[in-house]
Amino acid sequence: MTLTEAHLPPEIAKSKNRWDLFLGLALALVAMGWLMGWFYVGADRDQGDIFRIMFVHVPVAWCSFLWVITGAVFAVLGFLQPTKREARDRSSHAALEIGTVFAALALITGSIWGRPTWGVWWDWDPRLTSTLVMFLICCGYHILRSFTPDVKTRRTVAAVTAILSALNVPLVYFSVNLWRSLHQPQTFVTKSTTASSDISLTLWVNVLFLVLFSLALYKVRRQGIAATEALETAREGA
Amino acid sequence: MNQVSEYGNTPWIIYVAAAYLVVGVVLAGYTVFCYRNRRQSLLALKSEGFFADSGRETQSGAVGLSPTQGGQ
Repeated sequence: MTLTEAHLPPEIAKSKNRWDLFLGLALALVAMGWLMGWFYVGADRDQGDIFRIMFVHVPVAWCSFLWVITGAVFAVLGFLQPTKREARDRSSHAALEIGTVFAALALITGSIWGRPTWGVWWDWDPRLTSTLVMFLICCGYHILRSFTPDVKTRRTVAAVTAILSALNVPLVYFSVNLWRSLHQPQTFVTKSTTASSDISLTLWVNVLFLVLFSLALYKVRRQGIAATEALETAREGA
Repeated sequence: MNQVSEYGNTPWIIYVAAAYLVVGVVLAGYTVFCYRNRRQSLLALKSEGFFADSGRETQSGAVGLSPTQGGQ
């Protein structure tokens, strides 16, 4: 089999190192946002300095929502556009993987915040439990991908699981309103007028910068997945 | 700075630093994984014969690889 650049997926066929530069820039912005969280904002009236964890916990939680939903959107597009199924599957795979990493970080940072605030590392509260379920479905997505050898079946099973994981996101988000919860309500969205401006600014800056960083990470990861798939295809065809 | 939680004597800075550290370490590790995975796959593609006919690898290089990387 003669292999040329024409066989390569578009993600890696052309030089797109600009995402590497973008990732470096986003990393610097994230570091700046964290410095704001440590030094720019004063202590909270009720929580004291423990609330500084919010400047990492809330952005990683929202990034997990963003990427899990993005993964599901690409999965749906894969069903709607059969000719672009491979590319959509790669996008969905990369997005779900990043969503899984952020979901794990949301659970860990939330647990670290919960110990000094609630007195427990973990509670079977609706928000925490639904987030854990979302994380486990994301893990299931990767397990299913790994253990399904047939490519077409793998893509279908993965797409269905990606959609299932995203269906859980509204449940996670609204769980604090739907049930009695230890977790506080949506403080920064519904009560942003009561938060001081420096807290709101620092939070939104951290959310924005982490979203930019995760976007660059998504692009790099998708290139890696595309290269790995192209390699597998080449070896199968040889 | 001496503020402690009502649930223990651990200073707040331990919890906050731990949260930032965990996020930083995990994201750094995942970034390294993404780059290594992409680089290794592209190097393997080169050794399998991709980029052979256009000579692009000697000009701009495939994504994530410098012109001198890869085995032909």
